[in-house]
Amino acid sequence: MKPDVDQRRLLLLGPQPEYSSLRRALERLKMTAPVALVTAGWEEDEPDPRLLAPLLDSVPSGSFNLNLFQRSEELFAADPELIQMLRDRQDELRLLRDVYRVRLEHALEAVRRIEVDHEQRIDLTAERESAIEMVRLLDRQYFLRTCQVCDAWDERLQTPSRQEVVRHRGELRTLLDGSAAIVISGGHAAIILNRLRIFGILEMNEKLPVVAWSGGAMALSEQIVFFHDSPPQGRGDAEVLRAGMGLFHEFLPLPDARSRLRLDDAPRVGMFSRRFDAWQCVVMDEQTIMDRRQGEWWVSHDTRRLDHDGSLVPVTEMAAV
Amino acid sequence: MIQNISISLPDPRSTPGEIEVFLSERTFPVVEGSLVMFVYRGQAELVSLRHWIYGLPASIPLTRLGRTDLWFRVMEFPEGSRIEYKFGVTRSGFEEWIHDPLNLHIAPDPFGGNSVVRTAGCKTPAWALPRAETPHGKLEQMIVDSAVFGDQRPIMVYLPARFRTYRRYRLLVVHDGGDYLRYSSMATVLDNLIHALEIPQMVVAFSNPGERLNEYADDPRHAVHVVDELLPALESRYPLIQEASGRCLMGASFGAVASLSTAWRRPGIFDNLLLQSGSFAFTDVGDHSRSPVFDRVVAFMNQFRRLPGELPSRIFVSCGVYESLIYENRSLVPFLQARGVDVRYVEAFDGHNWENWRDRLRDGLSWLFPGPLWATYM
Repeated sequence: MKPDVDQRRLLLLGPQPEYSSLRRALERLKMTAPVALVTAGWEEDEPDPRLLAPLLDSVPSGSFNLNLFQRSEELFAADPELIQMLRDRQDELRLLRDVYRVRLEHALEAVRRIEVDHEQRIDLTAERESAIEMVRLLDRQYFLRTCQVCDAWDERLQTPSRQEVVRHRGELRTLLDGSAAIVISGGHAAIILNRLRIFGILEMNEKLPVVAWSGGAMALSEQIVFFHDSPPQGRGDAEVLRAGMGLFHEFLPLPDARSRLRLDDAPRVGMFSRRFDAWQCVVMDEQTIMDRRQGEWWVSHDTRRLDHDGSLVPVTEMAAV
Repeated sequence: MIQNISISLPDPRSTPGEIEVFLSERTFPVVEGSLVMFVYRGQAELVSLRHWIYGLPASIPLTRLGRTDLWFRVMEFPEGSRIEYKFGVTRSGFEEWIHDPLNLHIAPDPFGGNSVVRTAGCKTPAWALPRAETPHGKLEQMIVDSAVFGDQRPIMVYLPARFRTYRRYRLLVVHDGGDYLRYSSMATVLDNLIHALEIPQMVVAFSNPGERLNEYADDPRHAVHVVDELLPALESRYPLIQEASGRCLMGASFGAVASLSTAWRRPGIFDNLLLQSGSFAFTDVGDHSRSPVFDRVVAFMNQFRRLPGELPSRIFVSCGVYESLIYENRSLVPFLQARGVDVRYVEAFDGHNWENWRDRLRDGLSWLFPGPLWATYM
């Protein structure tokens, strides 16, 4: 029996420079009422008409912006205790992340060194698997630790019952009553996640379909993983951020992976896939649509995932989900 | 040394036509890994390689091939090297410095530019070249009245492509700004790095000196101009983060001295410095042996080393291995680190030139002001 959350209609998309797959996704929903937009990932640019106009043009049934980023700015100004506690929580999470990075660097180095050692006179398959299992364990420990920290802070924050939050949530609930779906843009994935949590809009009407792209899709996942193989600073080791909204469990969305990951580097791709083997690591391009309807996924035919051998294979081959 | 390179030179008795064929079949200089064969063709009494590699003789003669008019020289450099050079061609007793006629790659600079050769592993970074998909920032001029210098200073201000008045931006003040724009393609670099989210959107003020060697050599008026005239003018006109952590001073050569001197004279205003090939000459004992223009620099650096005061939190330092200033720049790093400064130091097999400074911009800017790349998925 799948949990109820898996029954929610959900459409996950890749980057939207032209909003082409967003248009197709909305056509699949056959909506007649306006959709509610979450553009918190754009941060201060949220109200920018030059950014908004092409998005609004892509929603034929009409739309209205929930302005979650602007609301959070108002909220923080009105509730300085809340913003201070969130900063303290962030400091704690940052310390944990720094420790995680130290441990991760060494654990991944062990995996790499064992992988590239071609002078072995004995079979090291078990050692290789064990080395990568250590990375998985570290990721898992860090994930659980961040969950503990966030849970403890949730107890202290009591976000849902704070006066200003109650007011905003009331307004948002009224707005959502007239909407056909929630559409979440890409952008800063952690900011999207935080605003979704503060305002609780996904929980207000759990029957509302959700469409989300790039950073928005990552924020809805079970576990958010940041990735970039060639950043200007550092080694570019993917790292766990923390738990996402948990609206889906099967996939690790990798938006814009073709530019962010060296997909022609088979050992690197294979290692990524094996490290995160609890999920299908899906390359999400401009044309990607992943549509969950009544608990079953439909995936656009050219959608690829990373495979353990370092290749890209169609998601459909394994998509018995 | 010639036997180390696989290219066979023509027979010393070759005809002009055979030499023409040799030249037409390859590009010059010939590069094989770390080996470079410089070739010049023309009548001359002497041909020499003129370069700016500290540690090598300033003039390295080419060898004439038999009785032909072909001159050559094979040299070895570390892989990843970028070398700027000219040929010194002596005719009728007079030497003329010219670009390599067989090499189309010229690095422009304020002195007419140089020919450039790169050994294996050294490429122009893609982010230093214009890209069709990258939106362009805007350059606008503003005039800053300078009471301390008694003149008006034209400043070019770079605003990122998605500049919005409701945002707050970091500020980068660039010494020798006109040269950075002309010779280091800095507007293109900013466009590309911002578009790639590797650095945040920022406002960049490209300033220019009056009498450069005076003003940039720890002239106390310069710090007054930057802090009390330029900065307020910029902050009154643009939405800037008005905190030291959001500000950076940068420059190359004497411009790096001006940056360090300003931060030293007016601590707590700029918390980030980007110093490229700084002319940080100093002495531990006795006089310096550089030209007199360094007198005030040496006096400043010696005083700075005695009394560094309150230093910026983060300083990026880069220098070319082929520069005479490499010793001074390497010396600066442990000095700063010992005083608690977070320092990032980068070297390159390159010289004291604008393309070297261009090619280190990504390292420096993305370290001082990291962009939202890691967390942003549009």
